Amino acid sequence: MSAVLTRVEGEGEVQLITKEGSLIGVEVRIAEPPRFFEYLVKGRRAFDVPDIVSRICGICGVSYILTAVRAFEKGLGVTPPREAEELRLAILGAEKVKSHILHAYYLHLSDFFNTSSLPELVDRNPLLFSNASRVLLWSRKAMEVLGGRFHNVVNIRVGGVYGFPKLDKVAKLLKEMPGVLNSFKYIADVVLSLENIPMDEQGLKLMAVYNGSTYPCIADDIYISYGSGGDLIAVSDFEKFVKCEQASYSNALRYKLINGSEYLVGPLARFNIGYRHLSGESRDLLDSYGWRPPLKNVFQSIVARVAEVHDTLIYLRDFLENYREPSSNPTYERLEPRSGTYVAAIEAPRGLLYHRYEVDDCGRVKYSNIVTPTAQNQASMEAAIMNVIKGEALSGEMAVEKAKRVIRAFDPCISCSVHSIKVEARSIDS
Amino acid sequence: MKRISVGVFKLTSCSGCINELIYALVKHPELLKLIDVKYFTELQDVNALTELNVAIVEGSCVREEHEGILKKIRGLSEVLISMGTCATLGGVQSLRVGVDVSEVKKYVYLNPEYVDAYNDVKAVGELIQVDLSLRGCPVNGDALASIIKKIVIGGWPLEVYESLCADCKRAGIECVVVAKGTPCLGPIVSAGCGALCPSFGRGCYGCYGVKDKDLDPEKIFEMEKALGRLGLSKDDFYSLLKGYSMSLVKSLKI
Ligand code: SF4
Ligand code: SF4
Ligand code: SF4
Repeated sequence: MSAVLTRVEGEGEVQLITKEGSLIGVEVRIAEPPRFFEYLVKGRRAFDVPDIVSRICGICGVSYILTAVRAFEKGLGVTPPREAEELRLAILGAEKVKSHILHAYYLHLSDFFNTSSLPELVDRNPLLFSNASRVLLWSRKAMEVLGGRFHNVVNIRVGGVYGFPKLDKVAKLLKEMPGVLNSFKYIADVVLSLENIPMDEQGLKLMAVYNGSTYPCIADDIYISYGSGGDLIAVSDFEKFVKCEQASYSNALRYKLINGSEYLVGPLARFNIGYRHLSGESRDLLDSYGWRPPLKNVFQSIVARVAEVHDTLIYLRDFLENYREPSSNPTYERLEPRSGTYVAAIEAPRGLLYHRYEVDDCGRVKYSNIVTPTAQNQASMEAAIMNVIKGEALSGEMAVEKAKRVIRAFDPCISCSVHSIKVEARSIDS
Repeated sequence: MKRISVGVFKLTSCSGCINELIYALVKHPELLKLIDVKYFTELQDVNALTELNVAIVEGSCVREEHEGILKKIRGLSEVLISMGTCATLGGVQSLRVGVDVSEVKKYVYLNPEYVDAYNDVKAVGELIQVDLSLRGCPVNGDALASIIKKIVIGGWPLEVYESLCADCKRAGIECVVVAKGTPCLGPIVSAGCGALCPSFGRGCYGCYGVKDKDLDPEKIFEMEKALGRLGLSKDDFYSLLKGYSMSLVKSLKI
């Protein structure tokens, strides 16, 4: 049996392999048309890379831009001016709000309401729709004012930003903030009080960038949590701690820890690793619904997404309140790339995003490696499906439906895996 | 009013334009009442490949399979729209065109033999007749919403022939070439984005694609020289053209 995976970013299928009615394997097949980004940036000027890699993902382009920008800045020993960095983080935050709301409401929530499409969900709960829309539309305005547009923002560059928004536009965004927070609280209330979020323990290994003092976002270190205990490693050692493989049934590259076990990146990983760095307001909100770390399984990721949107809105509120338009742009405009290796990792909405660039004497990229969140989660997705379906008699449709739900909980970004994903759902009885 | 049936299809792309479409539906929920969505896998579980009033395609073609899919969609639809720079002109993935794809596969994948892609990257219009081409990487969701509304009431959107500079001057933005000597592709790029990059003090890198009316290789050549004097190398200039205007690069033979 085969089913196209719907309500995910991009198109795909899952393959369930059964023998005498029981599940013996799961293959998440990745076959979406490849775009070869590592090749596309080869030979390009290092500082032109951010605008190219932004096109890897239609939702989280800012994360791609900023990872590349950060890699070059770090490698050149440049700390971006504070005003520019705060503005960039605000753009990144607005993107996170957009991504999480798009996923939680428009793609994922249907699973908890047993509706099969957005229009159906809209009919079922018009108030939820209008509140989610308000938050999403505001995030778009914020991205437009701060970054230029909703996708492929044009305002971020190596060394800082191209320009600072006018105060009156920022003031307008701020004015709408109380209403946006109210609307968001309505969504949070619906999600956090859902009674059908599974509670079973999945024993997940987690990974997120972490600096020990703030919620995972941008850092020079990565924390790997094994459930009990963990390791803190340098971002520059990332490639030593993971291994890359390409399964025979898929054209996607996928990642595991060097010991062979799969791991999870994304909101749930960040939440369990960085919960204590969430703002008091966010923790209070969660507390009032009884949600505390650790979150136990991928279905609970929606809780982490809600927590993160709330925390990000608080960051954006503070940023907008304190915003001053600098009299001149403090960006370092005269930087030139040198030959060398440039590495960075940041938290994209879907999890840890890692870039490495090798640059030649002419300042052009000669090699790159881009490791996306979805490629890292692929092995975990398969394991989670096994875990959820295992032991249940497989009645075709039901099993496929369950598998799809697991995958949607991961919020895979199919077009965003540079090595792209097509997920195939097929159960083959032998 | 009879609802028009719509299908949304994705080829090789990033979903950024599809997300603009989703934005358009969220911003203008009344659209959901005017259209009957038959195929849109990002939005719904039940999808049928049937006859359509309007087909919207995101992305370009990178393998044989896509050509068959496109021909099938064309056969089923009255109006076919190519949405965004990938579908209309090839998109950023065109930067690999000109190199043997086996070379490209080897460079990125551990097992290149599992990867299916041909040498070329083709815009939708290179393979089938397109009734309306929308540019932009991504397309502008608000423009998209008004186009859909026009089509629903039986109208047709006006095409843009202006260059970005016209947009830029209308908005009263200071020209970055004049003010700072920053290279800007504005004079040869199609209007539509509202001169976004110049409004942030940077030059346009051409994501709406080169204008296809009244443009000849001579003008492109002049532009290359002019931007060269501002420090943009020939190689980088043509990369921008390849990345955002590949199908025109092919037809102008530059
Ligand atoms: S045109 Fe740009 S935004 Fe649209 S799908 Fe292609 S790469 Fe993405
Ligand atoms: S900034 Fe660019 S688009 Fe604007 S007028 Fe100057 S050349 Fe034209
Ligand atoms: S100014 Fe040029 S590069 Fe910038 S958004 Fe507009 S068309 Fe695209």
